[in-house]
Amino acid sequence: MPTQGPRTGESIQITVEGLGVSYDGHDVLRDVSFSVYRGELLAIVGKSGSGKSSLLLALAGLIPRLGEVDIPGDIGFVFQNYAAFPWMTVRDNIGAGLRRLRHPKREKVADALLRLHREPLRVEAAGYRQKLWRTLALRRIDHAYRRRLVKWHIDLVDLTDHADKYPGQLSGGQVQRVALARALAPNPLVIFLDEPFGALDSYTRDRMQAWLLNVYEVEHKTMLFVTHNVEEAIFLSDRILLLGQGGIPADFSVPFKRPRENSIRYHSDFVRLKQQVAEQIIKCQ
Amino acid sequence: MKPIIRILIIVALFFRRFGRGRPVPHAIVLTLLVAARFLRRFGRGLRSPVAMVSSLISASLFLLAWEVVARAGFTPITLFPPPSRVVLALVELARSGELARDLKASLWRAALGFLLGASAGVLIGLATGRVSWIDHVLSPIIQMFRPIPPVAAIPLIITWLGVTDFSKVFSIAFAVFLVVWINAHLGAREIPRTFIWSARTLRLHGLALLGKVIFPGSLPYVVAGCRNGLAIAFIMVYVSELAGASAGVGYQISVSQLAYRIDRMIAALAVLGLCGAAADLLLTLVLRLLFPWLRFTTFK
Repeated sequence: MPTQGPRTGESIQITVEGLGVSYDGHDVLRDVSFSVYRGELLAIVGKSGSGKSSLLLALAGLIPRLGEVDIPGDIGFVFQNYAAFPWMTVRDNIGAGLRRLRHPKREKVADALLRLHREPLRVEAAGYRQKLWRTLALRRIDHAYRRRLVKWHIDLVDLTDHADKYPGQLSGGQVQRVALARALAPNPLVIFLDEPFGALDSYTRDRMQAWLLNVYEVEHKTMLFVTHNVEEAIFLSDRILLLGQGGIPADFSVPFKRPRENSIRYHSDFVRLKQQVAEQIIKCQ
Repeated sequence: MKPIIRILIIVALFFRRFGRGRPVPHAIVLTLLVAARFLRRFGRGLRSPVAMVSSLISASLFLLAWEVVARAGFTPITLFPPPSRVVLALVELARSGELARDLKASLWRAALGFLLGASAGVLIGLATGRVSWIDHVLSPIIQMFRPIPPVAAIPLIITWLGVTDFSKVFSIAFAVFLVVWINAHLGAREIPRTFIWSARTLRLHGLALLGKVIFPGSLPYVVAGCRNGLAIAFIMVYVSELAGASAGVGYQISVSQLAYRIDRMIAALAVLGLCGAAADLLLTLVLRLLFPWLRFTTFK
């Protein structure tokens, strides 16, 4: 197995060896092995019932699994349905994973802030009072940091005007954008997307794909993208894994350069690859 | 401003008007103003003017028919009093201060019993719905009590706790608890798995998980349970006052029966019904203020 990714010299981030998942005694997945390179956008395609979603859930540790899996601890997950919490505003949804986040230089900032003040906040004035002010300052610093981060992600997903709305007031595409921002905000190493645009109409779907590519250009995370739509898989990904009974029967690399324009969908290489993948899907039983 | 703060200010204003011994009209005007605000904000579901006028007409026709039949002389007027007599009896009750005394006693019991029963029901229901060992330990015990009509338990509660306010509040809380518990339990169990999975990938654990995902996730069920619980609280307040009370709307009904004052009985019944309806409306409005997202969401 090559250790160098299709993108220049990336190292391996996820290794999966002999992964198995079973529900109620019957195997959904058996003996699946592959690796994912750092910063790669990997699409996983397959027939419905081939266990695409179970693969992501098992890798994320949300359902029990067998086999050897080497994966970073912090991951983000975007689901198809119930993607955002309907009881939180867009702002609170995106901040939901940041509760414990702290400013990386909080101590320094707090010291600098306290030094700026005169009485009664002198750093030299030791005692409970100084400790109290310091604790309060640290809290404010972390809070402001989290708020800034949330704001940045709201702008990233173009929801600036909807920050205080609830998901029930948004369109399907906007909700999926909230979900992606919520998964991105804690800055995980890997993002899992389980048919995130599966419930959207085809126009919205195209717009969301172009828009996901933009986010990918900005954030450049490792992404695992599950879909049953071959065109979507080719348009977005660097590599496509075909998931079937008995592991991964085929593996396609996608040669198109980034950033990608919508027009490559009509390119002859694109259409040929699409045909190739579709035939393989039908073949694998 | 946060909705909870807004509610607290309204409540504080309300009690300040009463507390300074200002005339009651102040409180009434304030209540109407608050009600008007609520209606303007949440009145989108109100029926059209035509429907409202026609329901007003049919209600007045019903009252008119009642008045005519009662005064026609088929039955003694004391046994079947017309609505005008009922209104007079109500005025009499209000003038003598009995109405205020009864309302204070009954509403206080209903409110306390409801709050205790509902909060216990929600907390224990969420626990049994989500944590399997708590479910195994507590649910069989609660399920043993659930088929018992709470009304039938009142004599026993009185025997054990005496004819005190505590026994009344306890029996109300017991009845409310059972209905709120089953709803919260089901609500917590029926939370879509995706929400729990999302919470896990966002590293929400413990109290944060409870407060940010499990409680709001089961809220549609909890709200339904609380509205049922409120209706049951009003049944229970009446029944618990039938024995060993010295004030309360239920007490007024039973005493008026002994005195053969049918008009007073009907007046007290109407007051009880109005209180139940007002409490339900108030609960809905408070829930809408606290959880505005419930209007936009159907994830069940």
